[in-house]
Amino acid sequence: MASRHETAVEALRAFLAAINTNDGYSYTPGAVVRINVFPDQISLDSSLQTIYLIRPGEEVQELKDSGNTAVHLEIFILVVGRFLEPTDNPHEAEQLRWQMAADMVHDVLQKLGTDNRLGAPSVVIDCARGGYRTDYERYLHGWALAEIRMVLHFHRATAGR
Amino acid sequence: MTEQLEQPEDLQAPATKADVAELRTIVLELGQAVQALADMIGQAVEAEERPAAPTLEEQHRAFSARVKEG
Repeated sequence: MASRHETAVEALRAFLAAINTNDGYSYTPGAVVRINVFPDQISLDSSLQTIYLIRPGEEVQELKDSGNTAVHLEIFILVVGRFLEPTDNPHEAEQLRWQMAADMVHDVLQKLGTDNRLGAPSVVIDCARGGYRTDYERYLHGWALAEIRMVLHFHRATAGR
Repeated sequence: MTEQLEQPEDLQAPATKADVAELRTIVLELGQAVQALADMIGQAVEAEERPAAPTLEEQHRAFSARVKEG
């Protein structure tokens, strides 16, 4: 029996995996996967152009009088796009590495904005209440990337899973 | 067995369309090879000049710590 924690995170993964350029997004992720450590070599599949890596952070549980527990689960999403430009020329007007990272982040936030309950209203309460925080200060040769921090809110029965 | 060399009079003959097409193909392939070489040199120079970046794991931990600090 899946815990609500598991159900909520899987709902997030499936929700992001549904991002598609046909719906007006900039990139269609080739894979959205859950991971525990961010690898320097994004070697899951080098043929993929766009990969979203989901990683859990801290979980805080808040007991409610109603017999439910409010769970606040910190989630980190690393958006990674293949970047094969031979060089980054700072004097060019278009900074493609910046642009790719910003577009991938925008895709994720735009998608999350379409349904705060991630298509799983029986479990997920809100994915946006804690706001989003994005770290663009990243570098990995051959890839454009950024990391988004969010807090996933869901309920579980205090005595259950 | 030695290959028969072309006679001087053949070399002085006007170029045909096929000759021009063949020459064009050779020039294009040469251009592509030069472009590939330039890209390789660009990547090598970038790798040489780039300071050693912290690992993604280190960058994540720094970000996570900043979030916790508020």
